[in-house]
Amino acid sequence: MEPTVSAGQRLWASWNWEPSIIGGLLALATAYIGGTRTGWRRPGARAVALRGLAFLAGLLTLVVALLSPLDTLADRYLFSAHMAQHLLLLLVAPPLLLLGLPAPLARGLIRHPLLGPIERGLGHPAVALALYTSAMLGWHVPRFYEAALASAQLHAVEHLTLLTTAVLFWWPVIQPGAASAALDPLGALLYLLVASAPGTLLGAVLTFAAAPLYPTYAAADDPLGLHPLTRGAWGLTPLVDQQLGGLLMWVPGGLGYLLAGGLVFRRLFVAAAEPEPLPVAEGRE
Amino acid sequence: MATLAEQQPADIGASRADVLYRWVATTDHKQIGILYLLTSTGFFLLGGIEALLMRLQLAVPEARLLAPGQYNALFTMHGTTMIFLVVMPLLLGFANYFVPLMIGARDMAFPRLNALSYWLLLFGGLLLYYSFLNGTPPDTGWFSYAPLTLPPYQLSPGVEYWALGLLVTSVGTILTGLNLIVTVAKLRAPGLTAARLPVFVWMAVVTGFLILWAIPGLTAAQVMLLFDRRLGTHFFDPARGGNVLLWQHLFWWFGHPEVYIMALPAFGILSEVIPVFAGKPLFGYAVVVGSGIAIGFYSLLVWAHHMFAVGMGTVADAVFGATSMIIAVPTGIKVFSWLATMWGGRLRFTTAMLFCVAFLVQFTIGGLSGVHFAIVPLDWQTTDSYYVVAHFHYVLFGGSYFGISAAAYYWFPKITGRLLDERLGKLHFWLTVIGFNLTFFPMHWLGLQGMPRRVYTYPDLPGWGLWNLVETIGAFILAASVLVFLWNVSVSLRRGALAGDNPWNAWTLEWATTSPPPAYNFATLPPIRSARPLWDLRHPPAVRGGAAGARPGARQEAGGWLARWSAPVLGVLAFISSEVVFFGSLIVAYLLYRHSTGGGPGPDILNIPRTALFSLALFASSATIWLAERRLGRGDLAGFRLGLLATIALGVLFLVGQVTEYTRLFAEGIGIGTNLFSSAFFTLTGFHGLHVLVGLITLVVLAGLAFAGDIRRDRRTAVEAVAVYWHFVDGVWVVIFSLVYLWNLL
Repeated sequence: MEPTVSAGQRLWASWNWEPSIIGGLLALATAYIGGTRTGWRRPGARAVALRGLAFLAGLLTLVVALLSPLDTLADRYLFSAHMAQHLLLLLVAPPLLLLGLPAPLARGLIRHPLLGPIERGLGHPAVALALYTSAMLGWHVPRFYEAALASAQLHAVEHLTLLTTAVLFWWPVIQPGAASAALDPLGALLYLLVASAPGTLLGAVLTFAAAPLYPTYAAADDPLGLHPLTRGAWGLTPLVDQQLGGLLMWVPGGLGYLLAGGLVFRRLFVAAAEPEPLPVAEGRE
Repeated sequence: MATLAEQQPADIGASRADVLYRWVATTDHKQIGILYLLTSTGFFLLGGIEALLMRLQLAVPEARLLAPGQYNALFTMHGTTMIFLVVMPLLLGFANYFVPLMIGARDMAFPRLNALSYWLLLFGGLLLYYSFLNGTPPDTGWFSYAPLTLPPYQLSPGVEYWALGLLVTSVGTILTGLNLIVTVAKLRAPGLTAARLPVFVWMAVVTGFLILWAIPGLTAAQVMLLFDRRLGTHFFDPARGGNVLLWQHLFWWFGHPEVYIMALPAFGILSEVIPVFAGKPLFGYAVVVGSGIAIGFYSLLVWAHHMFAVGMGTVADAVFGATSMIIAVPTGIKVFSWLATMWGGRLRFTTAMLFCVAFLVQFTIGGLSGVHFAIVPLDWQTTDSYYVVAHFHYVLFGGSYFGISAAAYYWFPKITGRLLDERLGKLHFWLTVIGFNLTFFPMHWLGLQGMPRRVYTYPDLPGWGLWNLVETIGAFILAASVLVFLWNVSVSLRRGALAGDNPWNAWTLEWATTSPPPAYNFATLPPIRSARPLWDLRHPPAVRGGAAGARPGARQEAGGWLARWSAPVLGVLAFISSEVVFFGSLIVAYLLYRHSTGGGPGPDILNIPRTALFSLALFASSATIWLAERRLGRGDLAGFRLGLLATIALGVLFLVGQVTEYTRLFAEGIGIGTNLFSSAFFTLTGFHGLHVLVGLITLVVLAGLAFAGDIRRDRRTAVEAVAVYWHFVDGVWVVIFSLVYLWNLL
């Protein structure tokens, strides 16, 4: 390696131009534009544009998670970077993508003769929650986690299962086009609350584990020469790195559910925006 | 106008024994609420006397009034009493009395369970206090840190009294929590949508969830502590590989939400009282409720900020420090909402309102010192000093107790039919404010000077003696204030002004009935079109400029998730969610100690194929009870009975399998105390077995009723509830079997 190139520059240059991911993202974008093309010029185009922006933000989140140098760090160097990547796949990208789904498109999906039954089955809150939690906890079992790190194919499977179960999980909350499994605001609040618990538990276990659980991140080999940066400048020794990963899952992860809960709670009052007369001249009796 | 003494006409001419029996056997939420309030007041006096004794000891430096051991017992019992037997049950007592009234219900969802909750509280408290008669009161602090609770550090059975007494009260509290949730979910009056619920009711529900999910962590920790002390396990014994931090995590998993279990209902009280005496609706109702929910949710995330001093590492300290500061945001929002409610209102400074105003000031001081503890270096300096004591008394006394006092003056007329005397009330208020601040404000300063808490005396350093004396004087002023209050109650009960239905011109439903309410609560309910039904009643639409479409109950919520389940099923689901935390705690212990074999037996000794076989029996029993339910739904009683019997048989088969597994292990000399692995294994699987046994007993009762012809198609809810519980017992085993057995195959 050339001594003139710093570790930071090497990291920044390490974008992951994996064709399958780029292809997948392009396919998603194409499908979205195809599905919503008719909506752009109709009245209410503003709402359509907002949805488009949400979808775009979701796609960009996936780019950051899967293509950017974050992926390089996640693949080999930092457990905490990998956790950040997983959080983007679980808590950021799916809600944005679903928010971007226009109601007619979602309704078409729900009424589709093949996809409809799948939505009703897998989109049921209990099923979705069970799948989502199992995928999240299951992939963090050290043996499975390490296997995914060792094999690019398995790693892709890991990320796909996380992403798809997360889409299922958010489906009843976001309920694009009033999905059949849509939850009322109180139900959705409880659902989010229950869903946050396994993440808290996993985060706490990782934070307080006394030894590194995932050998890859404790290994000494350093093909890109980034250790001076990660372990040196950032001070993320394997155990501290794992602790940071656990804390990311625990606290910002928990705050993600809380934020979603706040938006859901708002629905309770938007729905009740009273057509009934409110007392005039409040307080002057 | 009836008053409490004349509440039940049947009392006239009834013997004392009859009256006593009526109270002992009651399932009326109002009587149970009163029992809660009276019992907790009794414990409050005991906890207060303990505090006064401590203050006497600390009045001067180097005092010899109390021996160090006695002092330890007093601060342990004072903390435990005030938290578990005073603040929590007082707030739950008010919730018991007023939640059904505020939602226009006849009673709680499960009245008999409600009575059980109360009696568990009373007898748990008595068990705890029996330790004094035994001469061995607990003396390890209210959070009983391991390993100081274990031999050889602590040989006295005080720890057992502490753990068992609190276990008993905790079960009662959990049952109250689920009762409140199901009551509000199922029994609201028509038109009373979630967006119109009184804030106190909202907070009671949030508190209910916190109770359900926080307390089992403590319960699991106490079970392991008792096993350590009595069955030879070493969960918390570092000398044998146990982890003392496991205790701290489980304790603060409970302990942090506990703060909000004691604060949120008080927030609810303020949100009821301040609007009424400001003559304005609550400012930002939705935000006040939402921030209450957010606080509850958040409190389940950040327990580790009680553990800055254990050495979690810089990263964890920084993250928890930052996140702890965030709690100040929703709490601050509430304070500003209350202030904005008062702003421009026509304020009436009744005693209840005065207590609320003092709450705002004092609770804010407590909140600010709380933010100090989120700054880690400051926490290190002040932890275990009197600064902490000052902080949590400003929150729990300056906050919760002042809220409770406001509730006492606000709701006393509804409970008794007579108003508390306002002149004595104001005297009570001023004595409390002065006494409270004299007692606890100097503690900030003493704490910063380095005076440690929980030490029976202190050296004669400059200023220490003076401020401690001031604090002791303050404590006795507080004692006087309590006497004034009790005097006020006893005088007002007999000669207080008659209250009428709605003495404060309030607008929530509890004021729509007589004071005290009849046994059935409401003869008729007013139509509910907003969060203030009684205000609407006084200002009919025609007077307000008219509005079409003000149909009572027009905004009834359509179905929704919660409406799908019957009350018993909902109750069982809530209970299950609590059990999940209990089992979760035991599973965490198992995962922690899975490899802690000390060279002895480990997970590899377990017989996977045989246990898999017996597990299949348990899994199959879920199918049979599902079939039984369906048969009952079709009216096929014979099929139903057959399905029940099959379920029982399969459950028994599973237990037989467990017993043979245990017997084999015992025969090989492996018991619960062999090593940490065996401790965690037997505790986890043993508690699951206990749950199977309880499920079986319930099933046998159901079968008995079924064969007696007592269960028909139209009485399916009980069967549904039992089935849900049975599926849960099954589901837990799926998790345990995977983690404890199948994992070894990997």
